[in-house]
Amino acid sequence: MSSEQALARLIDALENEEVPYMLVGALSSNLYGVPRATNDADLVVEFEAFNLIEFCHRLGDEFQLDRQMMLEGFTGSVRNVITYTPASFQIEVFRLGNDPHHLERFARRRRQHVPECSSEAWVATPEDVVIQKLRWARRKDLDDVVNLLAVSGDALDWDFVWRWTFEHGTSDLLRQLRGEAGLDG
Amino acid sequence: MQTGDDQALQAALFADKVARARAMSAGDKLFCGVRLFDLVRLRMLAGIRGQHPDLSDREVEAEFRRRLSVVRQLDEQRTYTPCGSL
Repeated sequence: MSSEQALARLIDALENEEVPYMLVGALSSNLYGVPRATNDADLVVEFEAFNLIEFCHRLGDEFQLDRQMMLEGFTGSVRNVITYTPASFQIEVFRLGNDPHHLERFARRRRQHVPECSSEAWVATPEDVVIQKLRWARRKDLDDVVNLLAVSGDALDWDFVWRWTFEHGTSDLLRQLRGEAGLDG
Repeated sequence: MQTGDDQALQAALFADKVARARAMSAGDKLFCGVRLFDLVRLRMLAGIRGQHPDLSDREVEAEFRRRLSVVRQLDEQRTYTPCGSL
């Protein structure tokens, strides 16, 4: 089984068990921007009534859960990692926390057809991908934002994007990246 | 220092990259990064075998995991701190 098939299996399991989740990170920025290789798949899960240990056990022996929880410093998100061991591919599972933008992002998530899965999958919206990546602001995140704006920038709900970037103090950075993407030219 | 020709070439390459991304279906794009990971993995395994022909398949896989771990650590430095266990 490839990493792609392993991820599809995990998504199908979440769908079948009706677990509230959404795909974020590079998966979502690839969807709206210019695809690039990624070392992992990121997803956000509402942990109420969800047992990650039992879920991972049901996926099979090839899916190994690291029980160590890690706190991400920018937004206070808590993460566990599942490794699909035959390919060393990591699936990072973030708990939906109390961050105001994360709660709104989760409420706005949308369905996306995925050929590899037996049903559609929940994915973050392009606006929320931009807002979140501006908060992280690592070099690869900024490249992803420029690419996303160049590919999909015309279709974004800009009032929504500006509101959150003012809230997060990232609006100057957004202006700069809009210029790099050719949106203000 | 970049010349005007360099900048024109960069702009043309970027425009081509954007046009190709717009032409892909959403379904193809969503998992594209994961497919690329598997391709890169195969290339890296071949590269490690070329560098170290004496290694067994298991040792080649272990070296791949070690290199991947270095990349991940660089990527995550100063970002995550342990906060308990499930």
